[in-house]
Amino acid sequence: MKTADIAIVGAGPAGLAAAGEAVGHGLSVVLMDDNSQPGGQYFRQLPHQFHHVDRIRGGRAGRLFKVIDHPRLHYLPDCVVWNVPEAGVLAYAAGADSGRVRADAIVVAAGATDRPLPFPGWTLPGVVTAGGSQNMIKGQGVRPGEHVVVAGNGPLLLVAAMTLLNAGATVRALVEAAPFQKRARSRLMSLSRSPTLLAQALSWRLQLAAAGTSFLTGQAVIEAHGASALEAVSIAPIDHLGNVDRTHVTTLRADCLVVGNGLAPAVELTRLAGCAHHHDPLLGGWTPRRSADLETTVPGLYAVGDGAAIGGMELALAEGRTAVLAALLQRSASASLRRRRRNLARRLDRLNRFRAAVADIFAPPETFLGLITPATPVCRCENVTLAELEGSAAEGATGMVQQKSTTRLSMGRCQGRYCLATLADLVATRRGIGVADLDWPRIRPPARPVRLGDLLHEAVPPPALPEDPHLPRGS
Amino acid sequence: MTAGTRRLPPGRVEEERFTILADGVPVPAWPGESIAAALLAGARSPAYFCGMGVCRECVVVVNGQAGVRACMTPAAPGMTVDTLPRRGSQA
Repeated sequence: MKTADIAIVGAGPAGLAAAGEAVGHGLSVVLMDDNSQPGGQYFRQLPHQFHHVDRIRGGRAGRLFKVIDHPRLHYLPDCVVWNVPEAGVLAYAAGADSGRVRADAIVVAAGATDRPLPFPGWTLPGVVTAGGSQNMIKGQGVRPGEHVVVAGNGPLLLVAAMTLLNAGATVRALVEAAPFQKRARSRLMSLSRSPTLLAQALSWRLQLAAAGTSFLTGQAVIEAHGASALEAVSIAPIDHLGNVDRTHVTTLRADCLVVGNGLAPAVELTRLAGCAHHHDPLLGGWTPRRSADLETTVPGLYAVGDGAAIGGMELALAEGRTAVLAALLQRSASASLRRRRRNLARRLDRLNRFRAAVADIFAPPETFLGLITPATPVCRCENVTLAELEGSAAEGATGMVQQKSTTRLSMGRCQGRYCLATLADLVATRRGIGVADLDWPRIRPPARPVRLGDLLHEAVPPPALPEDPHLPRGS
Repeated sequence: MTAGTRRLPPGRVEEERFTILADGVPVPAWPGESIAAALLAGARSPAYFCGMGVCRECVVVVNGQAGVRACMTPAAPGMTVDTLPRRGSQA
């Protein structure tokens, strides 16, 4: 078993900031990440084998990346953390290097996933998430389509559209479900605290408009059409209650549809560790309860960045540093550590207020369930349609777990990441209760699928088993 | 053959191009490129959704080994890639 002062899960902005803070104060660190290069989704770079590429070296990002080469840091790329077998221990799969890490403090900075929502045709090839589109361009230098529609809800759609435009794609429309313009005007004041971001957003909108992109607000994609791959996209107005006006449908030809309705934190590990969670749509859904130190209800286990609560890159950096400082302050309370902690606390306050303002501008319709037709797969992996879920509910399987066991929804290879939130909305609406009060299926290891062969490399002593009554005594 | 219209500069040099066999069809690829990127740039309409190794829709069989994430796994010269029949209907 490896040991370190601090084990960090995730080498995105939050994890790198935490690692930098830790080695800067003399701590030893094990940094585990599912990707082959550091940076997470935000700082995703082209493969190292590519030539003539401007690598992240200087500036703030460059300083973040430097920690990877620090002698007190052990970096494990291509590594999946799949369990928290006991307090202070993480189990990870990384081919022949698979094993466990024991640390005084654990910082989970596991990042987030897109929250795409079901509509007819959303399983067609050519329909990709906003993150998937970003990564294909930023991480692979491949344009995911030529004629693209970007649709959903939230500030990331504009980023995705701009990246596509810069990659040479024609962005035919940016379809935003929130009635954006009205709210934007009313909240410009609060956003003006961050003039750089505001100016950038306006400049991107102007560039897209100049290139022919239509900005459709208060609208949603109601269907993706195509035989074996995406060919066209139908769009219709959606009001703040989620009612879809199917009498005013626009259909655009497209070979790529980029979808996103915000992000959801990856809370598998904090759930497996037994941390208490609460449900807050503003923060992306289920989010671990955290103290001002960002410590979860499990002592010594900290959760930071978008993997805990969606807040963006700047907040992730400040949170990663805060968690490590808090862990340090539990050992020794020097005046300089306290001062740095106080400065970071002020920064966290400011960024949290900014998050609230952005969430208000992009406040989505109350529900997107009106987009789901009976034949729409709600669970992509197991191909479970709305009609099947309603059929099982009509036969008495009304809870989430009953719906899961009767239909196989969420039992496929994504482990429910892209369907359980929708099932919760369906069941909660049907029963007239809040999603937080439902019987969400419990989580079990592995947190993410791992190859059994990897785990055979783990040098773990055989577990102490009770004596087998069927064997002769003493054998 | 050039890098193809969907591939963007910079990064790829012509001398390093190699071929993978996707469902029996030769598809060009470059060092460092993911299997998913090679399939997408090769107009194979692959299953590709989250792009960050989480949804696992892109899993393929590589040289007989199942459960390989096409979006997270680099292509390699001579690699045989078999895509899976899609379970989801096109509702």
